[in-house]
Amino acid sequence: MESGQLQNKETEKPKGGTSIDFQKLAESVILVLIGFGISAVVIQAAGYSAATVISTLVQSSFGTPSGLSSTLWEATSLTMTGLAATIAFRAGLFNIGVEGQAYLGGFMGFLVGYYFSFPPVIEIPLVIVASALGGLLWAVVPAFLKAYRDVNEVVTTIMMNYIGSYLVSYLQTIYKSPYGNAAYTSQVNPSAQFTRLFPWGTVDTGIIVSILGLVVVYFVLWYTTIGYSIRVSGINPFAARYAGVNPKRMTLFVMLLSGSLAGIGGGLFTNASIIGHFDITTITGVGLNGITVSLVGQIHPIGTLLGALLVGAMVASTPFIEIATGMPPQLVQLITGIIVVAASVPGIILMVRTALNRWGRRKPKQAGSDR
Amino acid sequence: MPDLLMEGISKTYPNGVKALVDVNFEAKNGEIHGLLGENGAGKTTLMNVLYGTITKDAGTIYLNGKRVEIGSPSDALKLGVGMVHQHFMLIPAFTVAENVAAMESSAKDVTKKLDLNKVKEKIRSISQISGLEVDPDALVENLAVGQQQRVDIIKLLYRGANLLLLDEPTSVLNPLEIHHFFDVLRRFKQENKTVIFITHKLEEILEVCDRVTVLRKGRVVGTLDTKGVSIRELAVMMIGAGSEALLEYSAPSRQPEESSAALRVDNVVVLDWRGVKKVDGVSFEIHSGEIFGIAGVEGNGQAELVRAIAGIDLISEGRLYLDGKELKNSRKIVIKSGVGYIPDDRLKWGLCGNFSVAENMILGVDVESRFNTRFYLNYRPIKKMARELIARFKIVTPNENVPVKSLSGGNQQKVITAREISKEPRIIIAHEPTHGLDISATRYIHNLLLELRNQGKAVLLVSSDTDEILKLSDRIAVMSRGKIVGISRREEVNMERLGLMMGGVRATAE
Ligand SMILES: Nc1ncnc2c1ncn2[C@@H]1O[C@H](COP(=O)(O)OP(=O)(O)OP(=O)(O)O)[C@@H](O)[C@H]1O
Ligand SMILES: [Mg+2]
Repeated sequence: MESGQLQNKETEKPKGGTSIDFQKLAESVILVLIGFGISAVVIQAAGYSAATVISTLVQSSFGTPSGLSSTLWEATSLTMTGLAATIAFRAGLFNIGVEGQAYLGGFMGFLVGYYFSFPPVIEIPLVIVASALGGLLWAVVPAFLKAYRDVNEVVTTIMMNYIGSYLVSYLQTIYKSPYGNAAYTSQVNPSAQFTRLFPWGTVDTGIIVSILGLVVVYFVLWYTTIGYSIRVSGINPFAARYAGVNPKRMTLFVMLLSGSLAGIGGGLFTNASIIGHFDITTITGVGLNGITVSLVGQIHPIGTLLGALLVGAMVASTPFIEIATGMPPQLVQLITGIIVVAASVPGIILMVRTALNRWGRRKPKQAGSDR
Repeated sequence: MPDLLMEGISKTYPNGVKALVDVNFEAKNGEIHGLLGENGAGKTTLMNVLYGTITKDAGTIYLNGKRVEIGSPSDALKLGVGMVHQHFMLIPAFTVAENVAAMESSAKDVTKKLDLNKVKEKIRSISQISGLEVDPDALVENLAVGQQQRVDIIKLLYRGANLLLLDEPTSVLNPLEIHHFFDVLRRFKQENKTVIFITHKLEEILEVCDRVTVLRKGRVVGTLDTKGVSIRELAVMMIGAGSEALLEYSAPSRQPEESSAALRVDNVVVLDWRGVKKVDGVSFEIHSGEIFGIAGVEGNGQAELVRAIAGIDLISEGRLYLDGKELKNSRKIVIKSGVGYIPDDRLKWGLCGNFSVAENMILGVDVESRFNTRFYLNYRPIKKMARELIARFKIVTPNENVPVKSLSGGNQQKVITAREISKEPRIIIAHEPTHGLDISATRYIHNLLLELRNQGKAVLLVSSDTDEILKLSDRIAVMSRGKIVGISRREEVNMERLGLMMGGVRATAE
């Protein structure tokens, strides 16, 4: 008997397989507002003005062209790493490795830009492919261990994150910039950088790649047979076997796809118009924040974009809040953290439910193509 | 003053389904009260209202003359009301005692040290009083369904429940277990506990209940004493005039076509995860135009055998042949070869609860060839097919877009059956195809299976309901401890003989 399945919950309004759920959106919006409410209390308690902080936050992230532009830039790579986490979650896989995969993807993007100088129409696609490969490569070991040895992917991907972090930290010293004593690498050839969309802001053509990624992930999940299989696997692994899904191949496919997307996310960051070099300290968090973004977005591609905008806004406005109020950066992070955590509550619940449905079950030997 | 009184209860689900309309219901202390009604009549909904799992729109509940507000199961338990759901609520990785303890602990006593020994002691004494035998140290995932159900009931008794709501408890039990279960219910009665018992089996109502309330389409038709009532009268109350015909039918068995076998199972062995033989060298063949029934007490390897044939479980020895050609032990190939498969545990294997009805209509369907596509999933034709199947199989649902888990149990079963039959299979494997179905739906499925047989298809029917096997099968095999203990034509066996074959072996198994 299925005892993990939650029963008798009053069910949502009628909806099709694909439509966007406005009830969930409303849920998230309310939670964000609650998050703001709690933050306001914390700010006041700490002796600052909640009104100033919140207005600065909104103003500096959405209120001015350059602020909006920074938010969009932050959201660019977060959307991609968020999509990577989302597609894995949808298949019931917890790819914590998006972080390490983003490092490797970012570093590959840097390498292409460092060694080659083709016209951008060739160079940029090359950067994207190389980043995807970098991320994919970093997902290979956890993917195979999960598929063929049933080793928990959370453990292996976290390990890969550490290895990845040390690896790129070492590699970046090889390409160390000759100027100054900073640890980061030299700049890539300009043809390998995404170009700015507007002169007055940091957002660049990378965002187009992210939007394309979103469309692709959405389409794959809801309008393809493989996406159907991915979603069945995530919700009910037994039904997936009933449907003839080969769980090993599914695990490999989704982990590698997720790794590639995370890698592209890293590339979008490294080769952005305002960066153009590789630096482990600045790229750190691009993947893990992507996981948060996915949770805020209730593990839905469109939600992921909205989540990326929220988290992006928080990141973009942090320095402005510090300047406007004189708050210590730790406090600012606490406040933005509260808002983000509040918004991720439904996503966390979804994740826990998926975990309960999948883990701690004995797996009988499977037939046929599964071997 | 009756001890439980529900007055004017109404419930409309968010999707507009009027599940209960002004329902009045009462039960006395120390009675076993049956609740009867077709699939979707609102039985589960009414019990969920009483247990606080869903909120009612209108109405009042009185317990022992006092008006009570039940907002959650924990409120209900405090008032001594406990419910066992159609699907159990147990944690598989925990032991029996841990499951019971988990139910009790609440946020405020996380600091207290859990005394499992005390819990075990109390479980043992509950077992002794109620007759619900279970080992407190057993892991729940290793327990058979019948035992899991006992744990679910013990959990409630442990919390001191004296009004027990049991939603189709007998549908997962075999005849022997049902017999024992009724003894337990009678013991409850002696202790002045009240039992509300939902079932689709009219005989069971007459056998064990003092009174019965019949629901139809969310309304109460009436409450009556079971003394002097006949099955026929109950059926008429439930469905309306003309339903008597549903109760009686006999389909003469057929001599299968003497052609070669449509499906041949040759010496098949299936192991479980520990390497224990669950299916131990099973062989049989099914001909076109024949229903081949496998009877047996649940848990004797039927599920593994069926899943192995369907390409899900690994066959470690032996072979399958479809129309003389070897059938590979792969789910994909089995699907493509035109084998329909109705699995037993619908929400586990056969459906994706959160998916819409339409999405569930393509689970395990060879979508690429059915809808002539390679990669793209076009919902238009899928939804159209879903609407057609909903109409053809009279599935009660607001539309094809609602999540399948919002359908009543019987209608979920119909979704699976409709889907598998829509594949126009050569062979259909039906495992407990009428689990939880009301009498008209059961009759409907039975007729479908007979019709498929008459069309020349081969049907493998696996059921723990011996009655069902005897009604439909042309040939009957009995399975016990992973082996087939005998195959006979239907005329050669009767209830007693089958019972002996199953029961005799059972005695040696214990
Ligand atoms: N969570 C839900 N959301 C929406 N509709 C629901 C939900 N649960 C049940 N329904 C609908 O309410 C009606 C009554 O359902 P209920 O489960 O109470 O029937 P039932 O009498 O228990 O049937 P069965 O014998 O099939 O279990 C059905 O039409 C069903 O589709
Ligand atoms: Mg029910």
